[in-house]
Amino acid sequence: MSRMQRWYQSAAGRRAAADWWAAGVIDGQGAARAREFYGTLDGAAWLAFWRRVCAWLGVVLLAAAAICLVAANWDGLSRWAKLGGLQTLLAITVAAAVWPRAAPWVQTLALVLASMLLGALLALVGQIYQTGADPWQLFAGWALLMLPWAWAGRSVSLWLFWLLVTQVAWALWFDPRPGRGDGFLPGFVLINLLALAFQEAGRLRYAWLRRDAGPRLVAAALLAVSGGWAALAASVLVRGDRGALGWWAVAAALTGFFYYAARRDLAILAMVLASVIVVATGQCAAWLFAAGLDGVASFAVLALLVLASGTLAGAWLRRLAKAPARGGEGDQ
Amino acid sequence: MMDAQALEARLRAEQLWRHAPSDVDEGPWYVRVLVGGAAWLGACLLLPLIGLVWLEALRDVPAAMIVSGLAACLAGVALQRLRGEFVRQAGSAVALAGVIVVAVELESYGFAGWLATAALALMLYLAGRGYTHRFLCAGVMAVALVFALTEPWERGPSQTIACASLALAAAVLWWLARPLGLRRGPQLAPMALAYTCVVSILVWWVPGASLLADGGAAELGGTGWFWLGVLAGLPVAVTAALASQVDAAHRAAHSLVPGGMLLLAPAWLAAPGVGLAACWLALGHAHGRPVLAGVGVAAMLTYLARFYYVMETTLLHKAFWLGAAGTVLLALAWLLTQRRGGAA
Repeated sequence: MSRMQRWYQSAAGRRAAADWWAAGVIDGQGAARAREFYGTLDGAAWLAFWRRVCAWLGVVLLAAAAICLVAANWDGLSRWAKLGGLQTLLAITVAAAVWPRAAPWVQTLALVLASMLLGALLALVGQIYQTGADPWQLFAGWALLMLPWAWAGRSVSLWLFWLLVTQVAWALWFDPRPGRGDGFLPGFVLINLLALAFQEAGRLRYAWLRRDAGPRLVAAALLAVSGGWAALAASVLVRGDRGALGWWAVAAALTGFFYYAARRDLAILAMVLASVIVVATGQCAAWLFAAGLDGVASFAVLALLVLASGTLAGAWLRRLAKAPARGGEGDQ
Repeated sequence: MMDAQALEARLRAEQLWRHAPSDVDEGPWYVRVLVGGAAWLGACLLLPLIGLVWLEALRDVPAAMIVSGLAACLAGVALQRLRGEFVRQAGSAVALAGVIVVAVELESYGFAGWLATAALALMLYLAGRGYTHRFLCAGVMAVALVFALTEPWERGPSQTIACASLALAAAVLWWLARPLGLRRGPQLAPMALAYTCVVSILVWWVPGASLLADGGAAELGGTGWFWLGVLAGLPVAVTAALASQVDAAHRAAHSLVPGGMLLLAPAWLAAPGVGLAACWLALGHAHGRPVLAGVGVAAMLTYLARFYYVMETTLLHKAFWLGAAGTVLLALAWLLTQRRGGAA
């Protein structure tokens, strides 16, 4: 059992004991006994937590500092000093990442920092040489150059960061070109479905892909964007984009089926159900208003629909959560 | 480490288990988020029914909105007392819609109006049942308190005062709500989480101050500096309080963390959202609350994205403070690694 799983189980136990005490299920004596089991904060685990937080936060803040420094375009540094400084920093971090005596977590952190500095370096090159490249080209180049590191790093964080950069490139490609925005959603859905498929296929083979956080974050982005888009498609804002509903349906159906039948993950199923409620409400609102129903009555009907569907979805998920665990099931 | 089922079995074996839990089981976090989101959306959709009907019918009677809002609050609380999941969720939505209608009507009374709204939300918090209902009521209460403290809404020290006061309140509430601390502690957790979420958004509008900037001190004023100092000092207080809970063998090593936070306080003056997010992350981990830890991570990343566009600090100063803070944090991580080796 990993350190994170031990922490999660212990945390759930402590919270449950506190709830039992508050509800009168156990008395003060029972609470004292529970307190004995969990004791004070585990010093070693607490130290490991702070070591990780400080290291990760330090890396993120250093990368943010490099981006701010590039954006500041400071006159006090010559172009050679800027380019040389950033490339030296990049070389040092890459060297730290491949240094065989470095601990694995240090190598991962160094690779994350190097990947972020790579984007800053590309922006600096564009700034100094005025390449005239569009922002999407910068992000696409960044994603392409970073891909070998994302693969070699064997870290979910690095892989998710690569996916984020790729999707920003995709979004920027459509944004500045009027009339081409319709292609954004299909591409976005396909990229994220492929990302989910890659993680699920790799989960069987690679230990670093066995964490639940990766698929959950990808599914959250996929369902939030496609579901929001499909709900808005029913309104006056983007009326006529009928394809949005279809692309959302594909995303929700495939995700929902896989995480119900193949590898049950109730958190992702909750996301699917939330997106179904939002899209159904948007569609019903469009039908009710198109049918000319009184505004106040329409809102009351919609409120009832939302509350009923939310209650049903919650009850179903609770029932699934209490069912015996299946193989590969995510944490409850 | 013992999980909940093993603990229950142990307590039963030792005759310390009195009876089955009577309260409704709201399920894991994702069920709470789903049901809470549906209740919130339902409340928004009920607003026209509760507010607009009366507005149309009794446009010239100023108390009509308040009366209808209060009636909705009472009806909502009554529905909450009935059996059945749907009825309870509907009760939450009706009560929430009622308090929002009252808030809209009282908005013109300024400070007193917002304070009255906060008091009404507090009463609903106490009268209602369930984590989701309490979280939503506490959210309304926190927003009402923010508007009360920042009335009229102008960029300046008022946002800093509101943010620091609410952040302090959230930290104290989390401390009181720590598992197995106080018997009624868990009932404060929804309020603490709601305050944390509101503070994490409010801090986007708090003007940070770079100690390197000329004239920054005069612009912010004494009050602004004091409350900004409170925000920057909160991570020191939180980590020191948590270090006191650590077992004696590791306590010396843990004194490094509050020390590091003290060193980082000047950087948090420029970027107060980063220090606050670190507080939520630490409290979430120490008290075994994954949702709070998740809020801390999300607040950290969104604040950093927002910080890039903050106008009060130049990009060069931002680069300096972020770089300095990052270096101190990496040094702290290295020191903690050495202590781990020593402890092992």
